[in-house]
Amino acid sequence: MMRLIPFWGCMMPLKYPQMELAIRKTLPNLGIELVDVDGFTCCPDPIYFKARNKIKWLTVAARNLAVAEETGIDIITMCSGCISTLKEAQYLLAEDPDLMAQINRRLKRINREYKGKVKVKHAVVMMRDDLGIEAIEKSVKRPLEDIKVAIHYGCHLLKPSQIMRVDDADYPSILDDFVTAIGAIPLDHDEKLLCCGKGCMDDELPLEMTESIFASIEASGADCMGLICPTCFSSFDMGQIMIARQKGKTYNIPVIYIFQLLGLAQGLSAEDIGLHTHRVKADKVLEKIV
Amino acid sequence: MKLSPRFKYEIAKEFGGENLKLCFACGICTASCPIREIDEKYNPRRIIRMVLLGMKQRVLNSDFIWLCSSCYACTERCPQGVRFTEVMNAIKNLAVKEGYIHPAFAQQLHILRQFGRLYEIDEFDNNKRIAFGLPKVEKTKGFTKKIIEIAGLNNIIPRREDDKNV
Repeated sequence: MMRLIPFWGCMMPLKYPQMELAIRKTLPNLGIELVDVDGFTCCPDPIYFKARNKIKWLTVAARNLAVAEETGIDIITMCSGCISTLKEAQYLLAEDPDLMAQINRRLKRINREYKGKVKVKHAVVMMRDDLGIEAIEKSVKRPLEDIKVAIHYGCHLLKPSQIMRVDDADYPSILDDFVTAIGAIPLDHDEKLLCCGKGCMDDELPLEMTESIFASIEASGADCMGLICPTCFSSFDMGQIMIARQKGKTYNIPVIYIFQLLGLAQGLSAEDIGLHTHRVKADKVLEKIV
Repeated sequence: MKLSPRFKYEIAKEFGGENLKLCFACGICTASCPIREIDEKYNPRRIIRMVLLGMKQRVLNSDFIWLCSSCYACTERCPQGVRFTEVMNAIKNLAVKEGYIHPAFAQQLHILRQFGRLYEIDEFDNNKRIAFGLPKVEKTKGFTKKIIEIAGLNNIIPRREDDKNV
């Protein structure tokens, strides 16, 4: 049994608990024990909060790292935003001892210290590097044969690659390998690596970006979209309703978190992993699963 | 238009803005930018030129600085290591210091100060969790005034009257 602290963040527990549910139900089947820890706050988010003041952003991030570090157990995150913040904070603090001292002076006032020892990984990276793809394959009871998944990588799992060091940012394979391991077929499509647009503070631009991704997925003939990031999920699940309302175009592409796909492959039902709560129903995918 | 020749140094001094002056205007940032592809008013190469030329008010006061989606396509491809996503962040940090705050930021901070999270922790969300058999989310244990103070969450924007004390 490998013990790890899940850093849930804000979106997953409060907006999309079905994602948390999928993680809690699938990772134990891979020999992971999740050790919940009290005391985390928002990571804080790597777009809006960081845009306000980067030193303050770094202080809150370092506090979260310190909370985990005191337990001696490493962190996994399931959210691309959380991994972006925690990894960048670690990178900046490791690179600059003066900055580390400055942040630790702040933390000292709440009796905490960040030493730089805790390891932080995204769950999919931990699975690839520490468990191995074979372990994912072994946990599968019902391979998702013939299900064509259009993967959406999102931005922050991979980039900036100098900090994230996960995969090639232009030719990534980590999620394709994951989808292959559960028996499904990862499909390429033109806008596989396009940003969902959620970080852009505008009413119209993000929807344009989201729609070009849907058009590309529709052309690929995929059964569903497989993704990794709760922010992207809000762009695509609710986003499809918005596109239908504002542009009159219905795509009807189920949007499924990659750990929900793993759950289906491990034999869990759609309800077990909260798939029924999605705005775009996954019926056409579920029908194909025997 | 009044120019501020020291604007570029102010940005370069902000955290993340350090490499701004390495830009040799090749435009790969603009060519890679998915926002620019849809809307011409967001143009990374032009923003860098505006900063270098000292167009401080025009940049800090603009709508376009809030359009970056932080996808890092520019940062990945820049041959000079400018890290434009971080330069944009430095521009936004300076804009906030000078009082140009996007309204969504104020709202986010208001919630964060109360709950330690980006969203209100309320019955609606907890009921969804209970239906899934997940434990309730409680307000972060030990999330105190002191954390708010060391993280500087109070003095970015004035506290709003209706802020509940944590």
